[in-house]
Amino acid sequence: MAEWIEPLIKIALVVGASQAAVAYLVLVERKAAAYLQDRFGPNRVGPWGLLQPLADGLKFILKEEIIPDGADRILFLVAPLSILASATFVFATIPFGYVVPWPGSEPIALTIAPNIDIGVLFVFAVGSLGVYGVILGGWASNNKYSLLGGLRSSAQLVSYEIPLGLSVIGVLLFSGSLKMETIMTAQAASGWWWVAIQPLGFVVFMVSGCAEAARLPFDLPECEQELVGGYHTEYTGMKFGMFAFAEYLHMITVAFLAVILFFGGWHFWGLAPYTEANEVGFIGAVVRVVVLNVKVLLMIFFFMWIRWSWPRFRYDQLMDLAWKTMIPLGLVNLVICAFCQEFLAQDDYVTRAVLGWLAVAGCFAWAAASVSSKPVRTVAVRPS
Amino acid sequence: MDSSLLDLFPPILGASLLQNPQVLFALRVLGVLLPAFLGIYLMLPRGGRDSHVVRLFGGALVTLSFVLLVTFPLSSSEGAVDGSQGTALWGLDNTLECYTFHALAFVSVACAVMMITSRNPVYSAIWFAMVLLSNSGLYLLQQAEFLAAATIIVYAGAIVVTFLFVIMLAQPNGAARYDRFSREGLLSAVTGLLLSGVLIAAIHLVSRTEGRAPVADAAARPAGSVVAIQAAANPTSLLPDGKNPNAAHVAGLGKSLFRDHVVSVEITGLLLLAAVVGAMLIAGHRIEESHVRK
Repeated sequence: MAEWIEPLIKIALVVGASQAAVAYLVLVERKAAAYLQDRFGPNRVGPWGLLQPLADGLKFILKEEIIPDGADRILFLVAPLSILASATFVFATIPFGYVVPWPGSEPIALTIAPNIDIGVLFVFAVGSLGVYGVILGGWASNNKYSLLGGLRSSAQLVSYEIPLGLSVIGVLLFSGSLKMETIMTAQAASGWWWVAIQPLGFVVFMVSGCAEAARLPFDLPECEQELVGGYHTEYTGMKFGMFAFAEYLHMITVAFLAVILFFGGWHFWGLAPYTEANEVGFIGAVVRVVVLNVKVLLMIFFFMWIRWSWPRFRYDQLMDLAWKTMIPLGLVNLVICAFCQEFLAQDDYVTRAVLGWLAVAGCFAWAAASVSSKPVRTVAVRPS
Repeated sequence: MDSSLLDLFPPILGASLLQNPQVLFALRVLGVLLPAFLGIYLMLPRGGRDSHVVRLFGGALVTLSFVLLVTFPLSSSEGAVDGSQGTALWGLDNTLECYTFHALAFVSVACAVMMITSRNPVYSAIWFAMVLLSNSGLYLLQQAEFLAAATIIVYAGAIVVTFLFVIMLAQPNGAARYDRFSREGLLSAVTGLLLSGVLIAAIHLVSRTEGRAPVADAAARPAGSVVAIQAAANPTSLLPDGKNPNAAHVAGLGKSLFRDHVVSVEITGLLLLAAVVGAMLIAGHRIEESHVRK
């Protein structure tokens, strides 16, 4: 019986926490945006606007639900459901801490489904299903702008999956596993976070992750000036709320992945050092959960910070960035990682870090050289 | 491979046909599949408006066929003719596993039927994605985790999305007439009946040989066949199976791919590279043409 109760508790915990987190992240985002633009932000509902998420939720639920004429009614409803389902399902394999000691049994791993052999792949696989919500929502709305937005953003999501996968391979090579628990433990045991060794991989991961979550420099899906609201133009009330929820869940997922793959997960020098799973005390377990989640929150704040620091890309720039910049950079990172893994000693992290940062310097030099020597746009003229 | 497969087609002259176990077996397979054949034929879209009643009736017939296939003993010569025949057929002993398997299998078959019988190509693509999802659930049940993830990433995440793309871009004003009905409904239903009958018969006969997949079993192979040589060269499978269920799955698959099948992997990679370069070549020319000022 206990083996049924344990995952149920974890599921309730993760689903509840992520829903509440999404509600309050909207507030955090609006506050952060306000401070970056020298405004106050929401401050009418409750002290410092703390009850704003409740008001937003009520409004989502009470708004009139409109299904446009000529829309494909079934797919119009399926689209937000599918995107929210895939965004939530991803959390099945994402750890939110290390382990909790339990008297009289093995320590409990803080993942809904621990020790899945394909860990990271599962996240990518289920995450890639979110495209359906976007493309179906755009198509079923019976609206030109929605259709264009859906097509364009699904092209974006499919394209950026490639550099996203490439950037992770280096981490998998160094950790020797796809399990996220093992990846965190490998970083904790060595005392090196992979971001210090593979800066190039981290950059590619962050850019592609940002694009996958459709965060602002890459929020072409809902490019207001061109496409009204993109694929969710026609959605109202809670159906729109589901799209918004899924978007925030995607951001949380990417933040979790960045922290787990590149920033050592629950590890912090001195505060939460490496220990065997069965030697973690109760306080240590709590500290590790706090460390991991603080890192994730910082990462989310970083995403919000980018949002107000960087203008949106044009669509051809977006595609060029994926295919002509991020994929080559990911390949460079992969080659360096494979070289290190083959020819360097297993614990020679200094040389690896030097090589990784040299690669970054080389890329900067190459970029500088190619930018200064090439005209920005070329127009082909037919010789006649 | 197995003597019973050869026994399936003995000279059926003389003795009364209905007492011959092979004929009985074939008849049972056909009988089990007949409702599905009728149901699919009824559900296939015709030119005009389809009635929902007919479609529902067809769906009920397909379901009946599936239930029969799971519960009905196909061959009487096997001894075990109780209700556990369906589970013994697939070599599953755990009850929960068995229910999950049947649920996933039913969803898979039902979605496949919906895929070929729905009138809207967009819906067909969505049902196809559902088939792939439930199939990867079946892979997970067989501990083929990597295959499951790869199926979702490659098929459901990319290929079906490309289908949707093409459908939406090619026919923005709704599906063309030739996409909305099936031209050779009867012929395709009969072909499907025969094909699934042969497949089910083959699977059933294979599953009776010690309940073990014949490919993994080198001893059951005639010496000199390719599979036997391969199995002899790589005596221990690196993948988790009945003998060592705790083998590291992804690592084992990687080792197997890059040690036993490295030539195939390299050739496949080369082929894909050639395809990508070719695609770039074709696409690149078109872009240049379209940019030329008129």
